[in-house]
Amino acid sequence: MSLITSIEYLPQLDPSFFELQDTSNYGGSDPKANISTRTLSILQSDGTALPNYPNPIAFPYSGGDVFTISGLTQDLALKITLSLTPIVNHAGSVYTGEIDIATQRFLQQGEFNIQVQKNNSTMPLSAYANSIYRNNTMDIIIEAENAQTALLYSDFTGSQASLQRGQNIINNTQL
Amino acid sequence: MAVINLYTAAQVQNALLRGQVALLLISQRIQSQFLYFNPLQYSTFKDLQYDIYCLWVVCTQEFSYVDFVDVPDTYVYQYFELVGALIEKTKQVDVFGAYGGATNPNYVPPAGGTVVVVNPSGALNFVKSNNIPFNTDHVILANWQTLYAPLYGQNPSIEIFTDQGGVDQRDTQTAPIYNYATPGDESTLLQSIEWTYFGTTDGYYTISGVVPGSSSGGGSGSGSSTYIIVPFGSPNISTDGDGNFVYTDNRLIGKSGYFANATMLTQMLVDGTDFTSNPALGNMTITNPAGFTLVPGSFLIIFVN
Repeated sequence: MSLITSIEYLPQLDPSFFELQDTSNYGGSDPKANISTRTLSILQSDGTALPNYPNPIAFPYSGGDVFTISGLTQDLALKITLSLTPIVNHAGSVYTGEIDIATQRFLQQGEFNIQVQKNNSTMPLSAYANSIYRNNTMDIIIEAENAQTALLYSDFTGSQASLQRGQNIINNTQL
Repeated sequence: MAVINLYTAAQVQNALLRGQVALLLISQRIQSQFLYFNPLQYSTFKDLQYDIYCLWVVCTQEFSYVDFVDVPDTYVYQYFELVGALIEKTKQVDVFGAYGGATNPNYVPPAGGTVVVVNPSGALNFVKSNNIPFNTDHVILANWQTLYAPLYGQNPSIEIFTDQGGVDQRDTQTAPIYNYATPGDESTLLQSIEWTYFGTTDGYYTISGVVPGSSSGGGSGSGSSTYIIVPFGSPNISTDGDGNFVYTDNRLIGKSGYFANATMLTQMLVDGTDFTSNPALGNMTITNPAGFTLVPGSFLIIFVN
């Protein structure tokens, strides 16, 4: 069985952090014992490393297979690469896994909070306020989708711009 | 503080499914009745559609983060309030049959008695294909009352027969379709059929019963009519080399000459003559000259007299 390196993005309720899980199929000729180092590379849309994190990030097996990234202040379009360095390189095994993600939890929490304000208010809202809340939620949803679509074309800059526009809508919504 | 309903995960899934169906219905109504709306009606429909969509997206996105087991915190209370808002908005779609005359012009009223056959595996596929979280401990069928406009306002009681392999009846239980006309009962607002899943994924679930108050017009004049609702993904439906639908069901073996017509949601597919039945094989072929295809979320509704 050849090793296929893979990694999974696990969003959390709290948008300020997320988890990355190593889902590689260790075993056969490529058990963890055959891997000398495991690192993560997380690059933003402008090619720079994630703030407050080095590049690459050490991801030792002693800490388990889940790595937590914290301290986020807004959604980000990220290229995440999991790299394994084998002691013995086996033909057919792939020692690098990559995922492209655009985190969504800040935008989703913004949509949630606006909808809470729109629907759960004990006071009747004006037609104008209803319209603002409705349209802003729709716009944030659209920007979140735009961010995902941009990733399909590896357009990290466009994806990050969409996330930023969504965040601007949230910041400009008066609750 | 207003009373907040504490929903189970299954109830939220039901509400999400209802919201999704409501979105489809509003789209259908806006398109089919567009020329007849005044600006206020159009604006009302549009705003309702946006509101339901926003609530549906938010409640779907947050579903996996809600802890349905522990004592709810503020976030979960807020989530449940949004689910309640979604249900309330969805309720407004239920009255469309009497709203703005927005009824399906292609509808031919069925006769009095109705038998509904739904393949649950197809329904499961329908749900999963739309990324709604699904609890495998339950079978939740899309509400056929509102999936097909003519059945608005009908409140049938039903019996459910599990039918493994389409031949042997295994179990029977009664499960009334939730009656949205009953005020004050949240469970009546969900408009879908749910019961504990006690079979395997193979086989059939047969729902039969009587729809009271439906028109006696149409049909064969015998006072009874049968629907077969075939959702996307059902193993019972296939297409032949000419693109025609072929419906196969062991229960049709030995029966002949009673297939009336078929529709896909509101689109009339064929009239009463464009089909052939094969009693020996228990199947029928429904001609499909327009080349309609079943897609995720669509149903083929076959009327049988």
